[in-house]
Amino acid sequence: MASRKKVLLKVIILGDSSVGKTSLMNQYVNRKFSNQYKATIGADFLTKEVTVDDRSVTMQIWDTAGQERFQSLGVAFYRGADCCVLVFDVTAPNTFKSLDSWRDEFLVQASPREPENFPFVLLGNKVDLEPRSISSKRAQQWCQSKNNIPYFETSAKEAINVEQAFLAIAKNALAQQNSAVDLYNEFPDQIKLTNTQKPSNGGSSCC
Amino acid sequence: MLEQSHEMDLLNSESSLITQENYRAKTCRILGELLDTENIYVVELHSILTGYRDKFFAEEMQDIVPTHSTEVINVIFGNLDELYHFHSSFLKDLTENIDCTGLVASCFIREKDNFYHLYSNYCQNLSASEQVRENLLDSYMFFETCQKKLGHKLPLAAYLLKPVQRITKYHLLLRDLLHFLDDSKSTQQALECMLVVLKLVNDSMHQITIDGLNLDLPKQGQLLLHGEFSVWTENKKDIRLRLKPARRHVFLHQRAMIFCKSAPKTSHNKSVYQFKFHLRLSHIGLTESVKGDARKFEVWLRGRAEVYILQATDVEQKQTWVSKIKRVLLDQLEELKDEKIKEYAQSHRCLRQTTSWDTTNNCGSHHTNSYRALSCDSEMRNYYESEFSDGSNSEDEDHLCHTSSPGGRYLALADYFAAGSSEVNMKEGDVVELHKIGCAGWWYIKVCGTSFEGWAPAAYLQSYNRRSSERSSRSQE
Repeated sequence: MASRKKVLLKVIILGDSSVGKTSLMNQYVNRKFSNQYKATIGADFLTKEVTVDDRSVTMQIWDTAGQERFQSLGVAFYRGADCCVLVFDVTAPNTFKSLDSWRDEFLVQASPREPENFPFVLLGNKVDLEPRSISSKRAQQWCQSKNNIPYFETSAKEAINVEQAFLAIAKNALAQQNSAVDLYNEFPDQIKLTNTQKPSNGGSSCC
Repeated sequence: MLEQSHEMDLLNSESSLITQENYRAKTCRILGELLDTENIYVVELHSILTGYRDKFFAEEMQDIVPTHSTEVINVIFGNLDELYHFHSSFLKDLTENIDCTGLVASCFIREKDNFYHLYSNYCQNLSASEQVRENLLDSYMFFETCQKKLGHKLPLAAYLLKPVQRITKYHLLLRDLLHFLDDSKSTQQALECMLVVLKLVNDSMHQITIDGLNLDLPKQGQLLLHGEFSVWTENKKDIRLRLKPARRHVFLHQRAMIFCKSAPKTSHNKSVYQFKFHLRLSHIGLTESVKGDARKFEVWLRGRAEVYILQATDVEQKQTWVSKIKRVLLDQLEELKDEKIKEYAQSHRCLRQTTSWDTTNNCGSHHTNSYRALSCDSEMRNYYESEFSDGSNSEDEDHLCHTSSPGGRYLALADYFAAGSSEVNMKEGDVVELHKIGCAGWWYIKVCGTSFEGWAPAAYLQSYNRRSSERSSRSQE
């Protein structure tokens, strides 16, 4: 029935420990934030169907909690990513400082074809908390210096801006996918069309 | 008055009861999460094996099976089978011991070697698995049929990453558990075990190629650290001043420091370096602080005839490196000591001193040398005093003040007969003062209460402070 290609977008969330990566994911996909007992482990990955510019896309979002200090292990996850979400805690300046190294690490390990145009999105999380140590202005300046990365201030706890941020992530990821034929795509679209439209020709048994 | 305080006591004990209750509830929840997620993990591993691997051999799939080669199939799944069996029995262990955090912790401690071997095997195979899957022709139908039957939202590739994610979660759970425990020794140990496992697995993943390497890498011992530095080289024979530092990627192995140039990346997850030179750790001396830059330290050869100044990206990196190198150098000394001192004493004549600080007669440089030696010495002393309490000897201003105090005192463990005029005689039990640290385990010392000074092997010496502090703590009991 589906006349359009099914699109699967791979999104990786990176940032220091306890900036709220798992919480943001859970808030976005399950609309949940638990202050009482926050599960330590989120799902390995979550999927969510979204509509971007009239296209239905499936986002697969990968949590990297627990891997922060073990970057060789992260490599396996970076490959084939369509968008990289960088997260810092607006009340913890050290998490803002690490952004550069997260971005560099991602670019080195994922080695996308056009590193300067690869879509990143920056989230300043925990805006519900006081006192703030990183102002919007400072975060925006950083974004400008990195080829205008979109910036969102979020609160996973209060569900502030989370929906909007992920929609922007989906849009950026989709634009990236459209602009380049992705070698690493796990669902090669062309092959899929061939298989579903002409099953009698595509199957090895029938020829 | 009395009643009031009694009331207060009641209140206090009540509130502590509440927090205790609260803590217990939290501990239970974390243990519950550990067990639940372990259960799910085992089920998922099983589903990959039955839903994908076994389907290669299933009759109904034979028309679309992309390969029959068991070799290829083995590469795709790696040792997932072993992981499954291991975690099935680990889950059983956990279930049986889940009521007691101490027992849960011991499950992890007991299995740490298995964790390491199974996961480093699995992780190292991943990129080969990926390549095989990419190159497998006409595999799409097969994998998609499997995926649909399983009802998985994402393809096999995503599920094959499950083990990599799982192994990175245990330390998070154990750390959370630690927050709510009174007696946390075994949990702390379990946490450390899992972090070590992770580090080793992580290191085993880092594929390194060093072009032009003229060393047998496996013989250089375990890779301890590696990182980028700016490196200045000073050489007495080659007086040309090097004002510009070179960017070098330095690998610290148990037995050697290898200096390389990073080559541009060729493929993901594979780093290529060009070999420049190496230093043997048994030959180097270390200077921890370089005036004017807290990120710098020096390693040198032959009594500073060759000096390499390394500038780290930050102070933290420098401290990690300095304490690691120091640990290796101290371990070398311990090793020497272990080889029975008597035996060593008989054969010491083979050990020729290759270096001496005495050769620098230049007044100015002598001055800086002694400053450096003293700073090194005070650090050494601190290191002994902290008794290997995990390198928390942070370098602060205080230490710099200490550098002007007289050098550390050491006890001679055996008689030593000088083998030349630059060396010094020592009798067992002599107390000596350390003046300089040379390389290859030679120290410049002065025998206390005498005017004798000269070089002696550090293997003969033990920190006097450590001894006396041990004695005094014992006498206090």
